[in-house]
Amino acid sequence: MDLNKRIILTGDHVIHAAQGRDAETGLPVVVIKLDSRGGETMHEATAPNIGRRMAVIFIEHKPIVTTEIVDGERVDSHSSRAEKRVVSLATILEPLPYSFQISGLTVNEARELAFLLRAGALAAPMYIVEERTVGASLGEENVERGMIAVAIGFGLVLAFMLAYYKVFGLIANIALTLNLVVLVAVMSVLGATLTLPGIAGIVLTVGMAVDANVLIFSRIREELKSKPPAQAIPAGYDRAFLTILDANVTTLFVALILLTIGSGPIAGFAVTLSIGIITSMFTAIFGSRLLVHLVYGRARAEKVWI
Amino acid sequence: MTTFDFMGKRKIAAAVSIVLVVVSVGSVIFLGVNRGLDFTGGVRVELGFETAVTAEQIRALLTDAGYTEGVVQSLGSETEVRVRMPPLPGVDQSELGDDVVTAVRSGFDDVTLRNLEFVGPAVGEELTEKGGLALLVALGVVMFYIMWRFTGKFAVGAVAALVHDVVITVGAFSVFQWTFNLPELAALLAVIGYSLNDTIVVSDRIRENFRSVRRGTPFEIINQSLNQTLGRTLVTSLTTLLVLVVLLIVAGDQISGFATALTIGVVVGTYSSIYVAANVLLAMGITKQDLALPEREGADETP
Repeated sequence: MDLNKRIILTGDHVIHAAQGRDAETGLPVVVIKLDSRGGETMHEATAPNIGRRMAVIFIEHKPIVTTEIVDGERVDSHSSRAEKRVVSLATILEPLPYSFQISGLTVNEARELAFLLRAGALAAPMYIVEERTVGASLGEENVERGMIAVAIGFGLVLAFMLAYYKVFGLIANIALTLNLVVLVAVMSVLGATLTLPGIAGIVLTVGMAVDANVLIFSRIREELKSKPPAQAIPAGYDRAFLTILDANVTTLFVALILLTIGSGPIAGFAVTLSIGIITSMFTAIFGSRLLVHLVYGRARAEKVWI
Repeated sequence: MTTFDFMGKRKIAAAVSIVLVVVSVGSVIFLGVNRGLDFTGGVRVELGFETAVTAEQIRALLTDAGYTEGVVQSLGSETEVRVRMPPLPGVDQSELGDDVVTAVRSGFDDVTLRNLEFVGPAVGEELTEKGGLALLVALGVVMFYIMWRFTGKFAVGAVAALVHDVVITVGAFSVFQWTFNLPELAALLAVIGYSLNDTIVVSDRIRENFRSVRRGTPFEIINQSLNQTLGRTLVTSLTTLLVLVVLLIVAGDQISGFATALTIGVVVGTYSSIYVAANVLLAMGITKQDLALPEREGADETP
C-alpha cells in the first residue's frame, strides 16, 4: 500500500473515540472528537482532498534499552523501535470538522478502531524506563495471594460454624457470606482498591462478624437451659445485641478516627473496616435473625439444633 | 459451663504480663524496631535470573561491592531475588538501584531488572507521625466511650489490655528483629480492633453479672463471667486464627510479616481479654456500686 507520508494529526489531538451506529443507516461507525486545534488542522487538510483516502496508522513504540560500559561506567541508552500498522483506510467525503465519523466497518472493526484511537491519544512515544516497573508488581501478586488465603480461611470458618452450630451455623454462614458480598460490593461502588491493609480490614471484619454470630448463639444456648426455644431465641438475640453494639461501636470509633487522620494505607484499612463493621452488624443482627425466624418462628419448636 | 479459677492465678498472670511488657519496651528502646523501607525510605530491587541462584550468592556479590546493609530475599522461586537497600549517606537513591544491578551483573550475566521502587524517607516520617497521632486520638475517644457506657475503671482496664497487646506485638518484632513495614502497621491496627472487641465482650458480661448476680464477691463474679464467656472467646479466637494460619501458609513473603503480627496480636489479645482487663478491674477494687443500675434498664436484665 502506498501511503502519502503527510501526517495530518497525531493521536494526542484525539479527545474521544467511540464505537457507535450511524443515526440514519444504523451501520457501525466510529465517532471521533478532536480538540479545537486538531479540528482546524483536520479541516484544512481534508477540504482540498475530498475523494482521496486517509489512513489511521497505529504506531507502537517498543522500548529498547541498551547498556554499555563506557570507561568503567554503566551507560543506559534508550531508543525505540516503531511498529506501524494501518488500522483504517477511509475515503474523505467532505471537509471534516472537529467531530466526524468513519463508516463502512463491521461492529468488531469499529470497536477495535475506537480502542486504538483512544490508545493513540497517549501518542507521545513513551520510553518505559526499565527501572520503574516491568511485569506484575509484587504488591499485586501479594494481594492476590492474600485474597486466595482469605478465601480458603473463610471456607474453613464456614465449615467450622456448620459443624459447631448445625442449623444455626448454616444460618450464620448465609449471613457471613452475605456480609462479605455486601462489603466487596460497597467497596467496588466506592472504587476502593484492594491493598494489603485492606485485606487486614477484611480479616478483622470477618473475625468480628463471626464473633457477632458466636455471641448470639452461645447466648441462645445459655438461655435454652432455662427457657423453651420460643423464648430463648429472642432473648439470646436481644441480650447479645447490646454486647455486639458496644464492641462494634468502639471499633467503629477507632476506624473512623484512623480514616480522618490517617493517610494512604491507614485510611485504606479504616475504610474497609468501617464498611465491614456496619455490614456485619446488619447481617448478623437482622439478616440472621430473619432467617432464624423463618426456620423456627412459626411452629412452636420443641428442639433446636444449635 | 466451665469453672476455672481464672482469677486465682491472677498474680502469676500479672507477673507474666509485666515481664512481657518490660521485655518488649526494653527491646524497643535498646534494640529498636527493624523499620522497613516504607518507614526509612530506600530502594527495593527485584531481579530475575535465567538459572537458579541462591540468596547467599547475591549477598556475597553485594558484600564484595561494599554493600553490607542490603537485605536479600528469595522470592519463592529460585530465579527471582529481591534486594532491599536502606538509603546510604551521600549516595543518590536512583544510583543505588543501578549500583545493585551492576554489582549483581558482575557475577551473573543473565540478570534482568524486574522492578525497582524508590521510597523517600519523608513518606515514612509523615506516615509514622500521622499514624501515631491517629492511634493516640483513637485511644482517647475509646476511653471516653467506655467511661460513658461502663465506668472509668472499665476504661482503664480496656486501655491497659489494648496497650498490653500492642506493646507485646511490637516487642516481638523488635526482639526477633523482623522487618516492620506498612503491612505490619496495618496488622497492628487490626490487633487494636480485635483486642478492643474481645475486651468489650468480656467486660460486658462482667457488667451484666455485677448487676444481676445477687450473691458473690467481685472476685467470684468476675471468675463466673470469664467462664461464661470462655466458650465464645475460644471459638472466636480459633476461627480468626484459622484464617491467619492459612494466610501464613498460602500467602507470599511480604504477607508473612503481616500474618505473623496478626497471629501474635490475636493470641495475646485473647489472653489479655481474660487476664489483663479483669485483673485491672480487681486491682482497682471494682464494686457493685460502681455499676449501680439506672432504673429503666433493670427490668429486662433481671429475669
